[in-house]
Amino acid sequence: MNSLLARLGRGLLGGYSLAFFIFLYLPIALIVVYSFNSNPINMMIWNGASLDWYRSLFGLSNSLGSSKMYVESSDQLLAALRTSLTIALSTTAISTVAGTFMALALARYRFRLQGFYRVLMFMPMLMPDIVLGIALLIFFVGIGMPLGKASIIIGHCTFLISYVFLVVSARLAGMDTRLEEASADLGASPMHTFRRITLPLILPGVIGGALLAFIISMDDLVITYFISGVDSTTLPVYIYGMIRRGIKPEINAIATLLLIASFIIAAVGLYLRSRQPATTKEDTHG
Amino acid sequence: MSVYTRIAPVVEIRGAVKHYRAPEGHLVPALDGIDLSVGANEFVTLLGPSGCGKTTLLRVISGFEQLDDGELLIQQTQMNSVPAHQRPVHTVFQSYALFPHMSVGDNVGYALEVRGVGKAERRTRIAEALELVGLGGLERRKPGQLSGGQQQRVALARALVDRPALLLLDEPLSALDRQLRQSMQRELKKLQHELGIAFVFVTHDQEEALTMSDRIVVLNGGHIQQIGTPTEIYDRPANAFVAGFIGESNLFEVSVSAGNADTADLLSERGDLLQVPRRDLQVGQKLQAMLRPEQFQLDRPQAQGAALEGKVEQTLFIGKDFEVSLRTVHGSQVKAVIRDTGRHDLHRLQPGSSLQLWYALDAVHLIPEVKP
Ligand SMILES: Nc1ncnc2c1ncn2[C@@H]1O[C@H](COP(=O)(O)OP(=O)(O)O)[C@@H](O)[C@H]1O
Ligand SMILES: [Mg+2]
Repeated sequence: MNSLLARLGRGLLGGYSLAFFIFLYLPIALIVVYSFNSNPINMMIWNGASLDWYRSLFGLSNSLGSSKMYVESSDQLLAALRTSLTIALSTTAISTVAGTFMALALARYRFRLQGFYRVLMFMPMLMPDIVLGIALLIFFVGIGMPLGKASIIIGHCTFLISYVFLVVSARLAGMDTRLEEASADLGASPMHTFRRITLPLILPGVIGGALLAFIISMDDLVITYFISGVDSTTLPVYIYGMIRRGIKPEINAIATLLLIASFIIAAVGLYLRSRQPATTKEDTHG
Repeated sequence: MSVYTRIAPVVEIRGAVKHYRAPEGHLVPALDGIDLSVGANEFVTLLGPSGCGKTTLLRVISGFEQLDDGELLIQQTQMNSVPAHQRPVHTVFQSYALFPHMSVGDNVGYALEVRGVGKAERRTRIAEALELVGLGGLERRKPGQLSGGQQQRVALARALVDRPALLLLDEPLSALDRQLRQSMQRELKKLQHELGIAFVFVTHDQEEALTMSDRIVVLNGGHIQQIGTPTEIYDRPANAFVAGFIGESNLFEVSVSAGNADTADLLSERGDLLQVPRRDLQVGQKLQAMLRPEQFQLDRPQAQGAALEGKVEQTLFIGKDFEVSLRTVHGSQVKAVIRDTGRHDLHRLQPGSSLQLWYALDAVHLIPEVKP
């Protein structure tokens, strides 16, 4: 009786998990499959495999012929990708440095209102995107700053610093502060200690934070939508625009390429994690 | 004063006071007026129960804590506000604190690297330091690939590589198992003697303190209870705390009841009578009298002696010795350690039998009553 119930429970749980993963991944799988569908009229009807949509994205010749619309869109698409990469790389650099030093300051120094500052660092992550977007828009307009790449970079940094801060803080919390004391004890100046001890030990966290910032910046639509100017269309904003003009099969190809890029970044992150020393915090006795 | 402190001391601490601020806001005293000087080449142990301020005192010397009041001199230089990395002092941490991302060689050579010592010279001195602690040839390993005892030695080599004036060791052996701990105790002592570096060693283990130290500083509640050589501390504890903390002891609260020609009678609060040499005791004077368990014997001693009488409550064979618990006729509990010489008829030590525990009069150590 008991074992029957247990088996039933296990079966239900297994079924539930399966349904959950289908729910999660089926739409994504469909996009990947349809990105190879050669039917130019209705992308939901399978018409044989082809790489035409990928060719079209890069402006290569394909069986669809080089209709004006496709060539134009591929130029715009590449321009949007360039804009996104510029913004994401700048944002990643700025927020990684700023977030890391914020984390170091809050973890290593004691000062008044420390807890309050910590909460302040979390706030941008909890704030609804739309509120942040509107707030940034009003701010930029208010100070008379033209909307463009610069405004997007500043906007992204406001919340990505929080993400880097969070990841690096977690890493710092797992680091034995006595290692830094040992370094000073052996005669190392604070600068030397940072370079030789602290930075190498938190580096996996810094890289993880940077990758996270890069992916989120590449992916952000809502906030960017509010603060991007006419000449600074990012990839997500461009794709969103394409969809509003009607779903074209190239979108599947773009989505698939983005998916692959994300996988590569995630894989790099995981690889770096697995390479870090097993423990940085030694057991303490007594 | 010991012979060491007359030569220029490495460390001098005068009137050191240190408070911590508890999370609730009030101040917790950790050091409460510490005066201490450590001579060059001296092995000084800070001994006391957990929370008595040992680590705090070390951290004040190494520069990780600032004194609220008092003075710290290292090699005759005022160091109160000199940052840790500019002090000629290294620490062996309880948790070793080896740098996990560096090889053993880089760990050991860190102090040299910091000073800009060239690579070639660094390599030979790293090899020397590792040789010194018996780990020659392990330069390439990572700390995580070593056993606890080996990590301990690497930490020691790292702190000794540039021959600091003073080495601080915060319970460095407490994480090791008993056997390893004992062999490390001997090695540390030998190393300290050979290198001629002053050691300030922290432990809460009184046996460790007694075997290793030139001088022991007994701490309790942020106060120094007594400073002295191991034998001074053991044979002539300055107060009841030291007597109780170091070794086992039988303590009697007594007052001088009568003075004879060359002896004095001490009457304990329960009514036990002890005899001591006369010295300069006044009748009516209140004292504490201490007898170590091993100062008792079953037969009248050659020297002038006296005995406590009572019934045996328990006898334990503890290897070579018998540990006897005696309840005196007045109800005091006395612990004695009797050597099994094979001569004693063991039935005398049977629980329930009457027994006389003899002691030599001059074995009784008297602690003057502390004025409140
Ligand atoms: N960082 C700290 N904050 C507050 N109180 C502390 C701190 N460090 C130590 N203390 C307190 O100071 C006293 C002495 O501590 P410590 O020097 O670590 O003792 P020991 O090393 O002898 O065990 C203890 O009561 C301890 O609770
Ligand atoms: Mg301690």
